[in-house]
Amino acid sequence: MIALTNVGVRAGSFTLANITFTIPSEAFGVVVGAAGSGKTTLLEVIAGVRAATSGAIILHQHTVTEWPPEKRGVGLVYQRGALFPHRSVRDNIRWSTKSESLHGPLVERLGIAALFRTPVAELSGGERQLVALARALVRVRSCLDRGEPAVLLLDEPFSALDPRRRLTTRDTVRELHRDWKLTTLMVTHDSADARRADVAVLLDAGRVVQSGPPADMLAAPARDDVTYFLNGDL
Amino acid sequence: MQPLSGILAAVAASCLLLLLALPVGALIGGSGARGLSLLVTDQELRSALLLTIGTATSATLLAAAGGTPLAWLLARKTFRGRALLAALLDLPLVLPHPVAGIALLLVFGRNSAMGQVLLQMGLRIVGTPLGIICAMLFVSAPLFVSAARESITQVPVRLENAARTLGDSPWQTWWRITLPLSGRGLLAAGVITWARAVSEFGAIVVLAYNPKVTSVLSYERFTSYGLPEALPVAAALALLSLVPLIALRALRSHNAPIT
Repeated sequence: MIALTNVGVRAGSFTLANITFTIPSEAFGVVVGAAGSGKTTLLEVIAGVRAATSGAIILHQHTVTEWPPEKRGVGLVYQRGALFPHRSVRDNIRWSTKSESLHGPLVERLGIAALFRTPVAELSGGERQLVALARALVRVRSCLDRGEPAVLLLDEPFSALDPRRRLTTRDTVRELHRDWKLTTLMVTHDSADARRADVAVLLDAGRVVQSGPPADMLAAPARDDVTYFLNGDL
Repeated sequence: MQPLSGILAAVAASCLLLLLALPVGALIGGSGARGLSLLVTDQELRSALLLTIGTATSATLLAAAGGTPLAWLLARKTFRGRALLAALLDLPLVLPHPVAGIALLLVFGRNSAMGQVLLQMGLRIVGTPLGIICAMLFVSAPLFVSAARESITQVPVRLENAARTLGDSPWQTWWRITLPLSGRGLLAAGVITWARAVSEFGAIVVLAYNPKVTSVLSYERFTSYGLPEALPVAAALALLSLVPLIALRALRSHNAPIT
């Protein structure tokens, strides 16, 4: 479960205020909203790499508001990957654990085995996203294997992939989410992704406009732009 | 109009280049060979050079040990008094160096409280290699902090964030991400600091005239025996100063932006 209650964050002159929503355990949540609405900042505060100035963050029954990121059991994928450029693709994926049995199948499943010898600097945007996804999934899997709960946070993880790869990778993430019983929160601009979610959160200027099951939000939209972000209707 | 402004710019740039290169070129070209040969025969010059290298290296290591955490703090943290801390670190850069020496003498001199305490601990600052290191550290450490801060700032915070979410502690993140990615910049900061320490004269001459480092020896030979005796010593010091300059160029030529 991911539950935020009245969470406030300051990031320079930008603020997130009174952020309150819940993503139930094993649910797939999405965050939608215009550019600059605070979506990435929201993921960062849940991951613990940015401090909340107020409110409470609960991950799987634990109030983690004051916990450091490494204790939260979070796998975070940044939009541009945030790969470590001084290490190989293989090292990036093995960052949180050296267990071959963990990353081998994931690498195969995401189809990135051929990238192992490619320098990180030479990867395309889409390849970076796939490697970053594998790296975060390895982290999440290793937490689960230790009996620790884990959540997956994705910041537009498919945005640089070609359309075919985007579909297959999206399906893979969905399958892993289901098979591993993950709680996932994904930032997306894709209304198809948003409609398939169990819970959607619409952000605007650092405030939650509306949150809940997409169907409920579409049935009773708090504002006109709810249908735009969930249905793609202009 | 455009060709004229281009010519004027080229002339101005050439004049500046000549001003920078001509004195050093004349010094090394005219007396470099004699300076090197003196290294074999002139015991005092050899001792001064060894003392300069030893004290400058010690000052650089101390600057790195204390300056790296300060640089990280200034690069990564926002806190009350941050601007004041940055200003304090810049202060030695704007002080005339003899004034820096006098200020150090006030703190570490035999009649000062700190000097007394240190003397009781068996540490004499004035007129010792320790004093030379203090003077070198005072004038060069701000350069280290400034360059190291710039270098750490260039490491994207998101890489550190990603490492933390992957299970790294703050220390592990420093060792595995920040240090390797800013390492070349930190090394360059160390080279700049060392070069500045080697060339220091004003603060050293006030705090520790003896034992003599090369810059003080060069000054002493000039005032006591005139230009011909000072030239080889000055040339040897200039040659020594070229070593970090070349190292710095090599480091910068391998610097690639982090994406």
